[in-house]
Amino acid sequence: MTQTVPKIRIRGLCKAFGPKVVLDGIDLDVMPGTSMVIIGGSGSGKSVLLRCILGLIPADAGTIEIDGVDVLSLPTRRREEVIETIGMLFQNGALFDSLSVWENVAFGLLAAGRRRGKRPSRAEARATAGRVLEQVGLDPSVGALSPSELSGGMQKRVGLARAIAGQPDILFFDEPTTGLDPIMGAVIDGLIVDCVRKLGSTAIAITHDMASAQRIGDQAAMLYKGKLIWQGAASSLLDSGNPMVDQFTHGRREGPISMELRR
Amino acid sequence: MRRFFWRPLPFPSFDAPAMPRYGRRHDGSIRRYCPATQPVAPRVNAVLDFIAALGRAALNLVRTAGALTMFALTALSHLVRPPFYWRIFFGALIEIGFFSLPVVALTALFSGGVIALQSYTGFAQYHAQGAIAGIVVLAVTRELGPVLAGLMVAGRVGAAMAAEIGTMRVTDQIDALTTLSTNPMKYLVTPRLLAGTIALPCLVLVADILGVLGGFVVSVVKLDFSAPAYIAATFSAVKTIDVTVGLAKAAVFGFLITLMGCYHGYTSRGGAQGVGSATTAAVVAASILLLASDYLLTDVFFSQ
Repeated sequence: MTQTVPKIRIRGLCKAFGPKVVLDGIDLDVMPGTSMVIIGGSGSGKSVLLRCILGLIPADAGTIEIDGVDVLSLPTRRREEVIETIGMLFQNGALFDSLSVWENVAFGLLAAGRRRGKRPSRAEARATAGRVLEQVGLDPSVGALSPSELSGGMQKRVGLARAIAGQPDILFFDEPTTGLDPIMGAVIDGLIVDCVRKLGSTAIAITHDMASAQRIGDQAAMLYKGKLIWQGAASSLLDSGNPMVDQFTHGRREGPISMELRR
Repeated sequence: MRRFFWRPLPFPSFDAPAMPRYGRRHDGSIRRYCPATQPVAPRVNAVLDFIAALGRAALNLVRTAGALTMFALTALSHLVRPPFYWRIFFGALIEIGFFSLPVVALTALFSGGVIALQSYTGFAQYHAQGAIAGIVVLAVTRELGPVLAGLMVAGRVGAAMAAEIGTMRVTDQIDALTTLSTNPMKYLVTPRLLAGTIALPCLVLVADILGVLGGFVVSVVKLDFSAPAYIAATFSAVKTIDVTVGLAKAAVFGFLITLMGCYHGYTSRGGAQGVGSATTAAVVAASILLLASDYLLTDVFFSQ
């Protein structure tokens, strides 16, 4: 395990918005084929971390290596190629509401094909989208609907289908079960685990949901005030021995973490 | 207790403010003016505050102008860097060019009629009614066609673009585009800018014709002009340059309207309210820029 190069290797990652420091020297390794779950309170910088890796937010300092290549120092074109290997499920789905469901799912396929100069025909893309929709438990006929006609759980499934359609090496999940009922949450978690296993991808998920974290993750880490204060196996989340993690995972009001309501 | 009674009323006190006062530093953080540590006379503070406010406004203006220029240049650079999104382009072209036709047509028709009526009131005093056809056609092709069509499109299309792109921004759809190997500027902004620049001159050509028609109908039906004489006077008054400059203006207006809609939508922040203010800003900025650039273009082309 220690011999292999980590799929994602982050060193000293810092990001501040004005005077507010969001990420303060993050070091994180994610090994190939494993799932890392990052937990942490609202506003602790979990989403910013994912966005920094994707290059949606420029980092202030530090390095992010994917397969041993520092993506922050790559020229834009090469960097876009690396980003292409990452699929992301956004918190609220972020489906394109001007497009139908199948166009959403096939969007990445068509875009990547266009970039490489061998774009699949729309009929081919639609057939592929139908197959991917089946993988996430949706009928291919859903493809003709508009995203606004779907329920929250179905939108999450379509978002997942869109993320995995390009068969990415790396998958990011931003609070995949937020806003869903517990059963639907468990179903989505099951789909995520299936997809990650089938594709052999490396995954990073951020969540508040302990049950979900334990279902999805192999490894877990907790982010608090811009620092990773704990890393360990996801199965040991509920008895980690770290007082902060214990307070967070058990949802206690009293403990070392005090909720800052005002800054 | 005694001290309390002797304290001056809080509002007009200049020597020791009863309430802590707050200001903002350049980086946006809150700064508290504490009387104990800030022995500067309040009167000087007020002057400094005023100068600071002026400076902030000036810096903001320069920053926005720079950001807007970079935004426009980046969008334009994608015109020559494939791929180009034709579906988005044609969608925007139809939205701007075709679905704005009714509102632009009605505006042009009525304005042409109004000019005929108004100029008749003035010109009849000097028995110069024969000039009305020329006045109508020049006013419509040089000014009213482009400006009124532009303002209508700014309200209709500029607002819709800002709202659509702004909603995409606040619901992470623009970030999602990036993760799906699509450059959001290339996908969202460039086709719309090109569509606006092409569609508005077409709309204005229609507006020109209908504006002249409005003047013609009013003059013939209400003011008892002879139809052939009116048409002959119209054609003798108008030159090609009047129409072409009007269309060139329209192209500039189309670019500015779509640029404002895309820029304000693209940079919107903070949920529904952010999208709302982006929409307002897009329409207001487009209208003002449109009228300002109209003056500049008129000055360049027609001031002899």
